[in-house]
Amino acid sequence: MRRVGEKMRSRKGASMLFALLVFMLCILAGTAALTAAAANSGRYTHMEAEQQDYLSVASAARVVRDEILGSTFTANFMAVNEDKTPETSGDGTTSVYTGNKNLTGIFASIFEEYFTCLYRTHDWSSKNPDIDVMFNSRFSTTLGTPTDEFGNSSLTVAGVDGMGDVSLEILADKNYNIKATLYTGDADHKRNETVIEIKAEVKYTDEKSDVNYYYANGTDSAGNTIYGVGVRTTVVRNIAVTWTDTNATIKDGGAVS
Amino acid sequence: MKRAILKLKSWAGESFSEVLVALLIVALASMLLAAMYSASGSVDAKVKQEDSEFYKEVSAVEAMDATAPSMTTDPTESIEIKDDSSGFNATISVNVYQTDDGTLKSYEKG
Repeated sequence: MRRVGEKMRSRKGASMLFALLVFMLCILAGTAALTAAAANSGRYTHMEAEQQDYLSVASAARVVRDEILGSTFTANFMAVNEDKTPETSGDGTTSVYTGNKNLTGIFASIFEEYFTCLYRTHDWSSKNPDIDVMFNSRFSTTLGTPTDEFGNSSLTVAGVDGMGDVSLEILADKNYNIKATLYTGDADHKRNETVIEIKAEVKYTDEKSDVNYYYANGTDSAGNTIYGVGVRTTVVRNIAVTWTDTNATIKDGGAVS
Repeated sequence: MKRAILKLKSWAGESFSEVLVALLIVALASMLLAAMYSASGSVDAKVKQEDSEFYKEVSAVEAMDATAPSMTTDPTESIEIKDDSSGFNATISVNVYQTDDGTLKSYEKG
């Protein structure tokens, strides 16, 4: 027992213990420094893939935005209604009309039907029900009442070699505003999501005017033409839609300048 | 034999040899630590240099700066916007900006 007590109090071997402790600390500190440096080195490869992913979305967003900004939607309609047509029935009406529509840009096949439907169902203040049948038949679409939004949510932008595919959802609302959402990854785990909202500038021309006109209404006993007075009603229902740069906003993701 | 046993039991001189060995261990540990720090410093410097070059490349590709070093352009490429289910398909010509090794690419409408 006495010998054990002596051993406990003995300082012999303390320097060796200290040396081993120093050795261990040095190894720990050195390992920590090397591990940190190695981790930083590995991060670089990962960042490269992430950056390319981001550049793919930003590039696709830039092109989609430019395509939308270069588009226009125009539709024009003019109906002329003359309330007297004695040559044919003596007391009828005759009407002529012209009408055309055109949406430019690569997304025309997606939106033209919807925009035409919006144009047709617009609440035209000129109110001339006489021409509605002609107007509706001229701009008939397969869409009945326009929905709040319309577009395509399953588009893919296939980039150049070495760039991954980018998913694209493009929707227009009832005010012709267009919203495009681009991302990589799947719909449940979107990466680098970029949203472009481009407001539409819509100009309506909605006019109705009445003017009197003279029409041949038979001949008198001397063989002279007798003229009657009729009313010629002209209705114009035009629309011009443009999407301008100043209204383009990027809500998330990177710069699409 | 008896003498040898006595030698083994004796503690005489032990502290001196112990200190010598301890000094050797501490010296070895210090050398190892210095070598490890030196190696990590080299790795760190290399990473910093690569990072700096990498971000310069990213900035140049993102800004589509054709005048930046290590940048090439290709105006003959095109991209496709498509939807197999509806049959929608549009091809758009683009200008591609990429680093010389082709690891980073960006494009704009051509």
